[in-house]
Amino acid sequence: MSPSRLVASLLGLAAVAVALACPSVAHATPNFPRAIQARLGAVSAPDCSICHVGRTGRGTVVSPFGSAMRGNGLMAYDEGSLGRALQTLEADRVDSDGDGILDVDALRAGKDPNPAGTGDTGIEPETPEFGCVGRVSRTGDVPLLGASALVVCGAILGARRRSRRRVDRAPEALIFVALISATGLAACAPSWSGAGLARRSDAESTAVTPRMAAVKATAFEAELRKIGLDPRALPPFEELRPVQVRRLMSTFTRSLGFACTDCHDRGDYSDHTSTRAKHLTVRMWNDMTRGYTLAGVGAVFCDSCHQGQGKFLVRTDKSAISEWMSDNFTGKLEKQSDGKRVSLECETCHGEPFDPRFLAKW
Amino acid sequence: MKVFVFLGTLFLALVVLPVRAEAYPWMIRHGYVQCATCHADPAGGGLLTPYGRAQGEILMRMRYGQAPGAEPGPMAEPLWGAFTPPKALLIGGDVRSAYVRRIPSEGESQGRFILMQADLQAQVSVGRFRANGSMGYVSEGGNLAAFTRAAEGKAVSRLHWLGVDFGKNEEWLVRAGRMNVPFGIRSIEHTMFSRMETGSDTNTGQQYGVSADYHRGPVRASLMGIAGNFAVSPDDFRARGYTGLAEYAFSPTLAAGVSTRMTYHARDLTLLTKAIRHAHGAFVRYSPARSIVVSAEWDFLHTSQPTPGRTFFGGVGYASVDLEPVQGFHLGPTLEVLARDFDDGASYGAWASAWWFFLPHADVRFDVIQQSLASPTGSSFKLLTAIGQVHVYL
Repeated sequence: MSPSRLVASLLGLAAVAVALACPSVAHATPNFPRAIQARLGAVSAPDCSICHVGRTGRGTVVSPFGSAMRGNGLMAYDEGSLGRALQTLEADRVDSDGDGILDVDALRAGKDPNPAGTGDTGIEPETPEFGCVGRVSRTGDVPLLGASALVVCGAILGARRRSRRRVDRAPEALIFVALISATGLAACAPSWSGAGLARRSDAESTAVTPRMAAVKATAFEAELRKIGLDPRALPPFEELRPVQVRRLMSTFTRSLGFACTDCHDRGDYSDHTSTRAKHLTVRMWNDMTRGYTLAGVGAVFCDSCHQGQGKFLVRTDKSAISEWMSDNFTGKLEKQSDGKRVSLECETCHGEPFDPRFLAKW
Repeated sequence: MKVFVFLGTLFLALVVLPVRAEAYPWMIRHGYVQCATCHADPAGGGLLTPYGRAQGEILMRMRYGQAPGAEPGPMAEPLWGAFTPPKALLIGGDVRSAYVRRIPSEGESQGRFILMQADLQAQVSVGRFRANGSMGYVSEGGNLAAFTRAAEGKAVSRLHWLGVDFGKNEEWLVRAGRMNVPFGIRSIEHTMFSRMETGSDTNTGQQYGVSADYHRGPVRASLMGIAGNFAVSPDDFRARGYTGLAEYAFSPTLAAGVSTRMTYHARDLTLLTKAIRHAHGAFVRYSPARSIVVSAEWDFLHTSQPTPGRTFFGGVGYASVDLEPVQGFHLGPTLEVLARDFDDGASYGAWASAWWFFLPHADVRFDVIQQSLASPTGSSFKLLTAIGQVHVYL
């Protein structure tokens, strides 16, 4: 190599080094966390995950709080729109996780206003996933990937030298295909497969012992009305608009204490893929939630009975179940039928003759 | 020595790096109306042919008073001449780093360094068959081009396709895989309204599909069937449809064309609902003198959301002037406008850019962008963005 080419090469490499040395971690809308802290007088700047699910970037502002902010005009970098959206949420008393603490108050206290589990798992329904199935971490896998690619590139160089002698074009083609294949395989290796996104095991899902608490009026009445639903006159599930279904999802997870993947197939959130849990949810909505009210108290929704538990009946004690149902279902619930209020009877759900396991037939 | 320089740079590139295709529509000032002359992709941008590398050395970089030679010399070759690939192999790479400062009209300004682009690209040709691909690494962002899954630290592959050249002069290319979508004027300003709104930015706007490209004489045309972006899942988030363009050069320095795109989104990434997006428009590039290139594009936008039954009809466009008073030094104002719906407010942007190709394979660029951005709620706000970039291609 001539001195001038060596100097030019070194200058170029120096420029590459400068270009690489500068970058640091950045965020989607980096001015918002501190702007929220300043506007609300919060004890700390919130994390990006209060709006972004899984990662920052386009299409990921889908947390319940983030969706509410977007719905109220939030725009990237626009602190004016941020302020207006926060004001609207406060005026509407939005409480995304239904814990009784308004979102803005949660932020002031340095807490995440979203339901637990939606902030950083990347599994919120209707949240896009990006990439194949692999996972690369900064600390472990990247050097491995880089080293693998380096070896392959070295092989390209070696092949180039051989091919120069043989005047043969085939090695480049084979090596290039091998390069792409090796990279793809490495990226998709099982050890990097994102197991954290997999469905929870039954053991994890049912680890909590059920408790049968008294049925109460829903805590989601205001939230349902914001979605455009009257909790005392819910439409059939099939008639809900997609945007309403999307916004209802977090009420389900909060009411039942479920993760999204307890109902949805991780690989396919589409409406077309049916799971047993989805089927049950729709049937519950249509047959057991719609139109029921808690006599003289208020509207009924999933949380009225489930209260954060997927399964809340202690089935080992049949007499206790019977007593609880009498006290809470037949004694308290009413249903609108042909314009009249009808009290709930055992056969309303269990049918005649009495079928104790009617849910299993749904 | 050559091997060590090459491997060292590759290592740097692979371990720390993210690619974005380069595309300089103002090369029409030199009579280049066809992209395929200089780029492996006949629709422009990205990996350079040996001829493209030569023009980069002869016509693009500053010569500091020396007349450009008729021959580019070894500096045009990969790694400044340290590596000469065989004819069947094209290889390249880009590193682009930037300091970006955003100053909103209300609120605190923010500055940060970004690794904008870092990638390796290659193409192998065997007879009429081609395999073309790129890969790199991003520390953040790049979601739409990622092939590994992680909140931070992703391997990205923006391009990977297989193609076959047809025709007596190989004027046809049919290919399948992940490609830059043919629409409008392909340029590196991937954050311009026109590129973002028509889904045709070269940063992460690529789609999987099948395309047919024609390039011969004064005509270049591309039509692509979009199968979706398989870097995104579930499938509902993938757009399906077509996109294409056709351009005709009325003279070596004047070309005009039309673009069309229609995509169906079972769940749109932005709207999060079902949507059908249309973009149809026209563009022109003109160089009245060697030191001046004017380019402009206008596209009508039509977006319908079956639920909740909304329709938006708007438009997006820009006009840009590239001035090159001295070879290798460019100045350029750009004006852009976006109205997602003509019934709502419009967003405006004004760019002032300076670009200096100061060394072989290296350039720096400075942009100041003043934007007035309309909010869906009817209000608007102003955002000033200053960007300084260093770019090196291998």
